[in-house]
Amino acid sequence: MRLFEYQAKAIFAKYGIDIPNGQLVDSHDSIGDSAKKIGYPVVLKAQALAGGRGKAGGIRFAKDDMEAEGNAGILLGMNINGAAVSSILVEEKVDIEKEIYFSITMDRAAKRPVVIVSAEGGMDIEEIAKSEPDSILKEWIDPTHGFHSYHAIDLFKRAGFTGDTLRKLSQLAATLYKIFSEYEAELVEINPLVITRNGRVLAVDGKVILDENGKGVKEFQIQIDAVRDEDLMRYVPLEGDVGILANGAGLTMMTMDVVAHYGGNPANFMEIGGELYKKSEEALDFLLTRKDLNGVLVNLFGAYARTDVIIEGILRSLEKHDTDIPFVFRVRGTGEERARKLLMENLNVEAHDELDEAAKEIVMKAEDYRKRRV
Amino acid sequence: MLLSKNKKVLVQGITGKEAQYWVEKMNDYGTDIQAGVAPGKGGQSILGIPVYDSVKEAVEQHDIDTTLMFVAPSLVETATMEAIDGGIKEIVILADGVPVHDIMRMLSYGAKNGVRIIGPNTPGLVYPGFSSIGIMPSWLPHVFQPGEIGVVSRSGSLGNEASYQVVQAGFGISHFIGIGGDLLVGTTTVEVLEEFERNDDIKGVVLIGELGGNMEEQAARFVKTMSKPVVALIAGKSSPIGVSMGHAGAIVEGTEGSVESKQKILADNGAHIANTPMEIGKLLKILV
Repeated sequence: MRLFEYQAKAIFAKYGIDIPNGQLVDSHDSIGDSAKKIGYPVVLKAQALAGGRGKAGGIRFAKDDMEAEGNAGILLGMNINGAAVSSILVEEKVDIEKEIYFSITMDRAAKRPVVIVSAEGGMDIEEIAKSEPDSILKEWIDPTHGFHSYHAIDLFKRAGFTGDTLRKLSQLAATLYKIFSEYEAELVEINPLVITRNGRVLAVDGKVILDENGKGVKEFQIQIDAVRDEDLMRYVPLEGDVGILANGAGLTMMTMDVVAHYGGNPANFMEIGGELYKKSEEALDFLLTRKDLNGVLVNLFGAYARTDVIIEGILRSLEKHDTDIPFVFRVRGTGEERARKLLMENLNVEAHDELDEAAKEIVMKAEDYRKRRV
Repeated sequence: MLLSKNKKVLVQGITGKEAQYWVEKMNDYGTDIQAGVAPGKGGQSILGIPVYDSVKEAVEQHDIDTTLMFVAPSLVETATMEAIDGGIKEIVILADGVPVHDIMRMLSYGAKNGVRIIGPNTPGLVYPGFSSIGIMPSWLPHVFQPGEIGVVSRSGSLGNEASYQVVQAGFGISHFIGIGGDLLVGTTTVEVLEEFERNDDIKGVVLIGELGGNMEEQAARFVKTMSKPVVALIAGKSSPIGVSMGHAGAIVEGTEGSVESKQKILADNGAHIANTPMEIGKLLKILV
């Protein structure tokens, strides 16, 4: 679960990491008061759960009330890479001497956490990797031993820091590892980590992704409670018009890909693998609440999930819905014979053996249906 | 040992409902299940398989090569530590939803003790014609036939699909190794490829990957050195950025881990890219 910047910074502050003086604001009326308390000039930072904020114009400056209100109005109506902006973090404008990149994340190939530092911060790590690859330093962590300030001293010394800055950076790094462990995070990133002209070491941005299975998310329970039913069915809406229902995450992703490969546009990711296979009726009920579908592809490869039980649920759902959108089925694996028989008896439909063939058919039928609709 | 086909198996959490379903399937298939563990149920038996209260008691009575865990996500770390302390050298973890910091500690402790961990969130291992350790439908004849192809997969469902395509194309499967869909897993794609390259039964390799992480990129560098043909199918090309797609590990943040970059680096290093499952069979017919 990704946290908002202001949530990440609240955690940092709780652990004694220096952050810019700031306030969270959710309407442009109150922006002037907040900005005056902080003192102009201020920075207005759109709060959205998406990357690429800077490039999308989600960070603005203001030197007086008029500028602050104008910019706040713009930011609050914005959409950053698909994520709506619900609030603004108003912060003091800091006097930057140097920007550093710092993160702790899971290195999946090394199977361990890794600390990444670059003395050339401010850009995305991917951009740094392209333009300044030699500036990136990594230190892998043994999780049973931890990451301590003396590990960090060594790392920041290699990155070229000395004296009081070296000491402050190292303390901050060890503190961030503490946050990483105690919150069971997948990623803790500060970019930029700023050294100001008067020697402060400041977390000017903060990105924290928590493990949804970990204990750190409990503190953000309100967000968890807001999880919708479709999340429990592992549903992700997409922009296309071909509904997808399949079992297993990998097979569902591939079903979307094969539909796209043959020129179709998947409308969603929805998987009903594992124990969820008994919930196919609810899954299709939910999927059919969408009115933008021009077809549905059901791709089942049964193992523990019984394809006949899934088809029974789908038939029950179809009985309730008066829909004429085309359905195409592909059925293989456990329960296959009975599933095929059910489809033939109830819908007079022959299930495909192959995903490729089923995908071609649904793409064609969805295209026809769309034309007839217009 | 990962590839040995007749392992002596322990089942941790053997008395659960799902465990019993799969123990029966594995047993019928010929898997050598020596014993089970279920705290408080020592002395019982499941399908004639003796149940013990602890791993320690089980290993005192049986030689165990591998332990298969039907254990709830929150209990996996403890069960893994118990298996490692019991001296078991291979651990297969099925659970989906193990906290990633638990996984991190388990993998560290396992590595220090020379233990191979497969998973979490793996569908398990199939040695067609010999044995099955996990939750793959080994008994379905159009999915698993003995043969000459090694399959490594992050996904169970797509692993079934790929194995089916191998068999439809007239080949069989020597080994199916599921490595799991989590953010961190104990055995990575490249480690399985290294084993496949050394194994004389295997004439060709099918690599099933998906978006997210850098395991396929890491594997690509090894593919370049392999003598056996590798066909790769990578799922998630049409998945959106920044959303986890069913598997905790199937998420792209920024540019790292996209399907396009994985396909490119694999192709650049000599792997053959299948765009759809059916293309796996077509490519194998040309290459093997």
